[in-house]
Amino acid sequence: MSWNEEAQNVGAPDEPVLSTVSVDLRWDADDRHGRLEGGDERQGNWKAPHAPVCHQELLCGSLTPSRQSVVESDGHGGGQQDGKYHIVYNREVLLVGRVHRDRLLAAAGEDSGVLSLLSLLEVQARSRRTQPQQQSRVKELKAKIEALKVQKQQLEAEIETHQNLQKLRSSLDKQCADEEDVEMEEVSENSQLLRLMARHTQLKDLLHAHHLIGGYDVIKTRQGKGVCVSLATAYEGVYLDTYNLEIDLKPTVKISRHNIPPFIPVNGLAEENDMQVNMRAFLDALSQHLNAFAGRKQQLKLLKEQHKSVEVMESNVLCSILVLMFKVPRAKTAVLCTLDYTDHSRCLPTRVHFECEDKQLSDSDQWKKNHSLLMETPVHKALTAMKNMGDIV
Amino acid sequence: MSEENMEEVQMLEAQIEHLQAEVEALQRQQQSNQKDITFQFRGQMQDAIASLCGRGPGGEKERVLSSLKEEVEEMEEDLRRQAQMNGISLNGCNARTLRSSGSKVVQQLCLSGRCSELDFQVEFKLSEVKEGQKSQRTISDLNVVLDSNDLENFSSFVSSVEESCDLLLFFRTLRTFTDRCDDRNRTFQHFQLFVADTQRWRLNEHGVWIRLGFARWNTSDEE
Repeated sequence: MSWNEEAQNVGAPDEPVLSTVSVDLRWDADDRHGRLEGGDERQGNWKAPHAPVCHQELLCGSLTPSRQSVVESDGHGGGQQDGKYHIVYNREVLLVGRVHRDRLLAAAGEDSGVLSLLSLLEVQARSRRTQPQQQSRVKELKAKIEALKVQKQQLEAEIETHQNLQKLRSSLDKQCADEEDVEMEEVSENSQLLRLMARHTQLKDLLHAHHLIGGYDVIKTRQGKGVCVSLATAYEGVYLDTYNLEIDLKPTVKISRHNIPPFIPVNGLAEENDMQVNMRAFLDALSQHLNAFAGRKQQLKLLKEQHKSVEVMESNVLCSILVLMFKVPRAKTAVLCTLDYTDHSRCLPTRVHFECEDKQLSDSDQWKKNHSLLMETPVHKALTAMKNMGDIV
Repeated sequence: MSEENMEEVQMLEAQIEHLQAEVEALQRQQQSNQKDITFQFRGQMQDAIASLCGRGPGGEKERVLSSLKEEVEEMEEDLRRQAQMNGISLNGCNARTLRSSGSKVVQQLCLSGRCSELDFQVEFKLSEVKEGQKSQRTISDLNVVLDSNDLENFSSFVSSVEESCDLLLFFRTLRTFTDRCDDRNRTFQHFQLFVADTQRWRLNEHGVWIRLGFARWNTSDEE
């Protein structure tokens, strides 16, 4: 069927019409389908319903009550002759072209033919209303496809950029290792940016590396009038506390703030090492003290965790003295062990002393060995060795 | 719904499914790229990536380039400052992310650099475990390579440092050793002394210097 979707007025000049459809009521002998051919309808040619009653009934009356009458447009026909007919359906005008009267009559005679035609018209009128929804579903899907394409392009661009960056970074690393000069190839804006980005990742890694190896992380403060320094501590591969110092450079070099515990002689070390003249010597000495302290503290922590059978009788905040009680198996005595760490820049004791009721025990070769062990090995490791040898419980 | 439209809709839906599968595969690749910490970007670097991938407005590229240039120059200066203050110049740092799960990150790092006249290369694994607000960092599998003529001084120290994974102790000691060497050389030059037997020092396992011999110095007057 051919559809003319131009909306037109019907009846009164300003009466709105939803849409129009032209239907060819040409009788098709084979499948008993009628068609009405489209014609030329304009406002003003409308005339009052003049169709013969038989047509109205046939074409409209048998279906829904909302149907309206067939309107004759050019005065011809009227059921007696060929003419233009309009079927107005739910305020929609189904344009009708020239119809042969006898065809109409023939169609009318075949009740099912006309009925099926009109029901088809009904369905198609309804579907016209749903077609916008269908259109919008297609639009929706197309929009989604566009969005996905954009997303895919962006991801591909990001992945390619990442690969280029990796390549550039690798070549930069190689150039630095071989101490060659960085050559400039293309000068496009993109490659310039990429090169800069590769250098950025390299610098970031190098700065992080300085931090990891225990560097002082120097930061300028107060427009260059001061510096802030971090002192990292670690023991046996475990990073421990970090301490911070703020040092004024102008008008004189002096320490303004820090978070170092009071039992570490910061000012004493500053004087000893002539901080004003040789900042690094001072920081090195301070770092040594802090790391030794952190090491002793960590040894005590590990001792308590790993050797619950050994009683810690005495310890202090600086961890410069440690008194332990050992239980000796088989013999029902205990050994009191004192460890003095008088050199605060080291994490091994300067003196080890045993006290035991059984004098022979403390003088024995075995315990002389233990004495050396405790002087030369971190205490928690020494105790493990002593346990393995069966000297203590 | 008309048949034509139904066909079109089906075709479009199939296209969408195909695109979605492609996008998902790309997202997976991007996620695995981002596990590498070296390429996790923030701030200026994030802007730079966005402008390279056409995500920002057109005229942005110049601004991004100049901002990044400024930041890179600041970092270069920062690096010079660190090298000067730490007495160690690093010329290479390669980090490979071995594992990056929710709370634990493990990286393999290889650093190379120079301390005074001594070249070194250090390799180790760095693990970072998050426990609540704190995170604990640990070093393991430390391997040290020193390019030095004084290797005999260093070998027992280096093996003990490798075993205890005390990276910080290694660098502290390296620095004091080279400082001492530099001081000694300066002192000798200053006094124009000829040294027949140099003082012999040995580093024990704990980074403590132990003197082995004595020096005999000839002054220029005697000649």
